[in-house]
Amino acid sequence: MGDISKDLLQNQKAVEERIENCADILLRPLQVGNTRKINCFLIYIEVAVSNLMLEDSVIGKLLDRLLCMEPEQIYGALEKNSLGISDTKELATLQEAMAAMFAGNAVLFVDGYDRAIKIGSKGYPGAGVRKAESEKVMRGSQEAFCEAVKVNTALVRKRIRSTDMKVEEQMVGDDSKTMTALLYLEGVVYPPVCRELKKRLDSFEIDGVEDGGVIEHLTENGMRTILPLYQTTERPDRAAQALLEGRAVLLTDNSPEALIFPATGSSLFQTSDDYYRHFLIVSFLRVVRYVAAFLAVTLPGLYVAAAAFHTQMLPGNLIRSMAQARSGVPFSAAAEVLLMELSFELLREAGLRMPGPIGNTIGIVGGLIVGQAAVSANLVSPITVIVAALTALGSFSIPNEELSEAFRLVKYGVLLLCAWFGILGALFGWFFLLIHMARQKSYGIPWLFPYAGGDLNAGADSHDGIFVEPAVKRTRRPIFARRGNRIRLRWKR
Amino acid sequence: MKYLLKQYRKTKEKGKSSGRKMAWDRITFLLFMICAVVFLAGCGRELEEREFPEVLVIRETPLLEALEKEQKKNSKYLDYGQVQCAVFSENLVTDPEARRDALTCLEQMPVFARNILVFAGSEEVLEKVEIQEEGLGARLEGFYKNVPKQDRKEAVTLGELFYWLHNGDSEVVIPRLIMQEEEMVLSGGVELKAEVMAGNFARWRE
Amino acid sequence: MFGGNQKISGRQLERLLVLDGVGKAGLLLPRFAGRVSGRTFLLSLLTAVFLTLGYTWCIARLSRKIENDFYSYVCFRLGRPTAVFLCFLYWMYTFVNVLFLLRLFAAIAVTFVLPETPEWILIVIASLTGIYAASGGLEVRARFSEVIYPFVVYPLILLLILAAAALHPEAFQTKAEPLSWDAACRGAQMFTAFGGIGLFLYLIPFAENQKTGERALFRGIGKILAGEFFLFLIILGTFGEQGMKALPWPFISLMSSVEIRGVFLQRWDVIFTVLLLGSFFAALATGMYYLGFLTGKIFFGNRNRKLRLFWPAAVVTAAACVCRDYQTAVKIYTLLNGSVFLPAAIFFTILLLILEHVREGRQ
Repeated sequence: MGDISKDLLQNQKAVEERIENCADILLRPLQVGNTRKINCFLIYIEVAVSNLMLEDSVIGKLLDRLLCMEPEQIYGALEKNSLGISDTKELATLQEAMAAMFAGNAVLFVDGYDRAIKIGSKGYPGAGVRKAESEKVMRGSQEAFCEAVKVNTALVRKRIRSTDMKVEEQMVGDDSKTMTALLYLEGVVYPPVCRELKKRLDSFEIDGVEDGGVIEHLTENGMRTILPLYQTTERPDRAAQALLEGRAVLLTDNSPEALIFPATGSSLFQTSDDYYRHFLIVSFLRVVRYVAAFLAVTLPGLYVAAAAFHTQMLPGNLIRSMAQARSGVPFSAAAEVLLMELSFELLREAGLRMPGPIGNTIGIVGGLIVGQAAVSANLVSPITVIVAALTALGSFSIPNEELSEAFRLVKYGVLLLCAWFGILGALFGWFFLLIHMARQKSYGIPWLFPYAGGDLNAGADSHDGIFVEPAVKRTRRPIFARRGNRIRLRWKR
Repeated sequence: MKYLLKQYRKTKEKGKSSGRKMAWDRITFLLFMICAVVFLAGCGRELEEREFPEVLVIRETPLLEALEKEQKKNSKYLDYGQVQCAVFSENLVTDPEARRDALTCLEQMPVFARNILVFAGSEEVLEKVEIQEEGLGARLEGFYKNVPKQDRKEAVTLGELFYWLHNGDSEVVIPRLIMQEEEMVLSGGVELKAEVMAGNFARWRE
Repeated sequence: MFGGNQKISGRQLERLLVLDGVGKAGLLLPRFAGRVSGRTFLLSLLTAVFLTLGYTWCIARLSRKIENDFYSYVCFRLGRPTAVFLCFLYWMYTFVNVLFLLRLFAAIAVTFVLPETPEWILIVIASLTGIYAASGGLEVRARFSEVIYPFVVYPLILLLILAAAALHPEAFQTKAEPLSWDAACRGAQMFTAFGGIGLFLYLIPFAENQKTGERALFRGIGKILAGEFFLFLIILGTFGEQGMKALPWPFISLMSSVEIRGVFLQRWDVIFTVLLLGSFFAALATGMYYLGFLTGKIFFGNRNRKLRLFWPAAVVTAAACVCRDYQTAVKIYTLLNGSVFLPAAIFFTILLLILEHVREGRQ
């Protein structure tokens, strides 16, 4: 596709060839000028630019003005945009014109003018700004990202009203032409981080990108890890916090989640309202989250270890009642726990896929069936149900969904190791996991930071690990920020 | 031409080596799954296959043989990890050689915690203890733990007995149990005088 | 640290050193109690402490002269054949050390944790963990040690505090004894448990800077020595001098006498034992790392990073499996490392220090 010609018919022929058999793309011929002597045509996607809006909106107003002008004045007005229409842009090539149309805009071609005019419109239909569903907080904004990258950018801009917040757009996907927006705070972010992302985005060609998750997994430098190397969030305030910390945010069109990077394991245990509440309460809750993560990975294995290997650890009364409860159960402790865990996974998946009220019922019915009937039928012992329930609660308490899923998988490995080696198996499992975590880096930052390397940056990051320091003492940005620009809070007195 | 050939051979080698690598990955995964399925039955012993005695009765030595004899009589595995108290036969406690053998053997078995309470008892008491009534261990412990502080007597643990055995520089009084109206009560104790066990180093199980 | 520049911080270095030494020393030292009194044992331990501090000082002084890496430095001072020979010496030391650690790990795990598991399985899995940590490089090992340090060391400190509450004061009331030649010789034997600090010379180029490395070295060694001394005071007070000699691993026997009231668990010895075994993983990772590193210096250069790690790791694992039992491993360790490799390494260290001193004198 080459440059736009002054000959309208040539342009029209080229466009018609491209949009053949595309019933949703409309080509509307027009005539402008008070004598209707200048031919033009408008191309747009039917639903992205509603017919009504043609009359009432920017497009309508532009066309109205052009209809009243002298033909000689039209070219000058278009060239200098003396009509003062906002959100218009001149396009030099047919490729740019097609890309603009696919982005949800209308594109005007005028006979005798070698540029096309992109006229902004409301864009594709999509869900508007909604309430945060997967990242619920007790305090703070309840807004969540929607699926339009422009709206999402605006939601973040609303929170950082500074020209230091840069937005760099890039199209990804040969067929999907998905718009991505890289947000960062100039002077605060470490420039190689953004350069590295761009390099990774340029390192592949793909037909389509339907969600930010595709970009996440194509740009992650560690395909042999299930640990998330990006932090995903549906909350604009979390994204804004990340920018202020010196991290960068990638928004993807059609995706209601932002990718924050670099990401460390510690940042995945933080929630946005950690910084809105009292530091003691937050510290306590963080301890609860870490304990929950430990239980989510280790509790089934520890139960097997205590029941099959190290009975001396547990009190005598408990051990005897457990032994009594297990009499008649046909499975070994390890198989029993595995059965319960897989049942919970089934319940979880079924509840997720079922619509609305039925999904909730699955949880209740499933709990009844698995909990009561299985115990009565001597398929499992009551303690195993409690272990599985506590494990599930533990995994739900992890704020980051990707990390929770990763731990759900690791739990089976630890369970197997405990079935072979007792409590030593739990140690093997955790140490393998920790070594694996120590090997991971997200854009140069170790995943285990600040638990490894936390003495850097004057120890500021260690004070936001498990225990949080009071807001009055949180004067430094984390290690993600550029050296020399790490002070974020100064007291005037 | 030479360059192209070199590139072709490199790609072929890469393909071969990546194919080999994939094969190794698959073999490793298969082996792991087989092990997982085979060992999912667990290498340990299930709870219902165990018996948890609360009180250890020691009336004869060698102790290991006595324990093995006891195990043979029982269809379930005797798990001594829950033992709270040890009752020695009075005869054994007063025989230095037998006492030493029993204590040395106990020290070599990490399954017995060093904070197990120690008692001495007559044959009558031992017979009653051997029935292993439920809650017997807690009852015997209760002679010390549930008594008000001002009335609390000194308990003797296995660790203290080991200390006495090796260092022997003080006296130890092992509380004595007697039968009184079908119930066990504490009455006095068996005094063990200071004794130095020269040259007796642990003969750890080979 | 973050740029993949193979640098580690002072805190990471210190924690690496502590985890390397804490488990091994605590379990090996009682072997040297022999037939001496408790007071003599403590005097011997003090001798070992002074010898270790002296050796540490020598290493710290020598490390100031190293500009790039220790191997290049020795090449420059004493020639390439000597540098390769020194690498080989340390390689043998590390090989025997790792073999001993694997056997010790298996012996303790089988005795106290998993009585029915074959030792070779535990040796293999411990070895695999060490290899996995070492294969990530120095930074991975350092991060791993930094993270596990509080989970391994702090519970052991808690254990010592709890055990200290149940000491027998009469155990310390022995008659005063002068420092004898026997005690001094025992002290020299005990020093074997701490001799691995010589490998720090290969590690110093990777520290943040030389000063930080030196401070971390002294802090780490100081913590190990203080910890060991405190540990053996408590062991003596708990078991008495004869009781300590009667037990092969009094440190672990100490754990079974600890009671933490009001907590859900009844016995803590298994947990403390497993945490102590955790320190072995860090030590094994160190050992495997140095085996790979030194193999590279001797045979492969900087190529074939995986190969230079895997083959010595495989050989030492096989040797540990084949080695008859723990007692044999201890004999090999005390004989080879204590009498041959460590003295030779110390000789070279002092020789290099003397050469530096002479060179400075001339200048």
